Amino acid sequence: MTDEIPAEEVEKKEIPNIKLYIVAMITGIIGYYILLANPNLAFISIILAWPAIVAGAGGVEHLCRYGLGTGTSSIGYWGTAVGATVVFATIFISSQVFNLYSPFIVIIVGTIIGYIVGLCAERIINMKIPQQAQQSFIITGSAAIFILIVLEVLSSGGVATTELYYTFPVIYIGTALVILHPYNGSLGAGEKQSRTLLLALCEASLITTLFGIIGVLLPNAPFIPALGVLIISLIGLVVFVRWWWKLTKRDTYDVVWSGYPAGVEH
Amino acid sequence: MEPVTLTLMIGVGLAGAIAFIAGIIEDAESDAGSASNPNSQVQLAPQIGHIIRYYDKAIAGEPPQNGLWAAAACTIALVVSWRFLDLGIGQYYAVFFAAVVGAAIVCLVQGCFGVFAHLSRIASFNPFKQPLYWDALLTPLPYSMGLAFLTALLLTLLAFITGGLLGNPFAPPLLALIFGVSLGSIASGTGDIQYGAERLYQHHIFGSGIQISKMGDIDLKGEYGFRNSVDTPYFCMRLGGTITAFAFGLIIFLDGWTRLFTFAGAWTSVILEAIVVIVLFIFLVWLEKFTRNSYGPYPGQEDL
Repeated sequence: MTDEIPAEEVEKKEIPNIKLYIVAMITGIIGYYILLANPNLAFISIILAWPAIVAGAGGVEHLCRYGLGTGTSSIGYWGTAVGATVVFATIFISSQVFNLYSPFIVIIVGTIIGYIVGLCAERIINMKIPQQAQQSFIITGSAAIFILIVLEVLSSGGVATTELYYTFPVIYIGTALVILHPYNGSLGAGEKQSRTLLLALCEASLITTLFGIIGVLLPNAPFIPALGVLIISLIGLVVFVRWWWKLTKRDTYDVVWSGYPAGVEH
Repeated sequence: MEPVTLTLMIGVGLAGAIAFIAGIIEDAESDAGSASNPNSQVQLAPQIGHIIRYYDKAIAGEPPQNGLWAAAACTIALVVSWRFLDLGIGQYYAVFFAAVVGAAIVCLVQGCFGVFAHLSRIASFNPFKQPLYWDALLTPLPYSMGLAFLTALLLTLLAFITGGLLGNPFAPPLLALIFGVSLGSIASGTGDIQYGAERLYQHHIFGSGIQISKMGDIDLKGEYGFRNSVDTPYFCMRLGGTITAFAFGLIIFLDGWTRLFTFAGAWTSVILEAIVVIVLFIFLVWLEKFTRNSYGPYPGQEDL
């Protein structure tokens, strides 16, 4: 293991999650207003929503590196539940489903709840994970802005139909899985932030493909925006998978078609 | 017999049968991808120095991933069935064919997630000199995807039956999510204990645990040749699959029965469910006592 990169060097190269979060919030808000101005530009908004998943996956990665183990899925579950609940609740509170203030409301409420829960875990339960409160609100806030944009695409420009409510479970669980899975999938001693975050982009485009399929088939939903989301997500999936595979191939010890470990009877 | 009661009885029987089959298949699916309990051994083996030829699917714990397959398949099935109904296709045909479409799309998503997780994890095993064997991924992949297709299809049909024939007030996608998460938890907690460890570590005293240096041994030798991901379901189908199926099928079946009676209004099912839980509790306490009396206490717990 002499050829391993020293830990300090890895730390130096990594992007701090808070920077990812700020970028994700800015792109998310821009994406929201683009969608509000013209629903047919949903394909641009969905590109601007992907950084939120990257930031959320970065938060999960940071928290779970400290040996949470099976807690990986719990933390992703919980963070997305906060984000999803905030977004779903705003629909029921406001008479006009999505308005000019929606992204700020969901981001601020999601961030505050995430921060309070993270602070409780840090101070009361004493989990001894550095920056726990900060990383918690990164997950909740990212989930909130991503779900807000997805829901706005599926709601035909902000009209909450009964059919829209049927999509809530899949939006929640799908977002939860793509936020928690990049780190869980890359778990291991050689895990690197670049690869994990790229995998988050691959999975974000995969799940928006699924949402695009649902949006295309959903009655009353605008067909064109959902189709745009579907096509741009498929293109994104291909581009990101090629990029991610380059890094994965570089990091893999050896790539062979078939074979057995040397010196082991079989 | 009244038609309503007959419909309910058909619904209860169908739901129980479908839940039972879904249980067997879901457990096999998780074992084919080393998703749950075998996962820790697959993850540990390279660290101990054992190179593995397993498909390490590892999609974030069984309950969430299974919830996603079921919820996504059911949501797609629902929207597709509305389109089918618009085309004038009969209600039952529409639901069934739409469920197939939903499950087919979901099985492709499952394949993508599985490939992502396997390649990433093998890359993260780099310090332990674990190579990527393409055939170890490509052999179990279609098998695992097929099982995911069947699980998603059955859970979608179960959600439609519970929502339609049994008159559950919740929307089918929400029911599918709940069924998926509960089936995943049952398979993870009940089924995956029987993944072959009890056979391979039979020379250890029961309940004594496995030493760190022995971790991952289970991933090396199969019935024939090097052990791989297709061998695990072969073993697990016999015990783990049926026990998962029994647990999940019984929950759905007993829950369905409570809808057949209406003697206390809305409280009927609460009373009946409470009776079922009490009977099960008494039986399980008796079973535990009987087992301890017959086979002695667990090692290290003689004083309990």
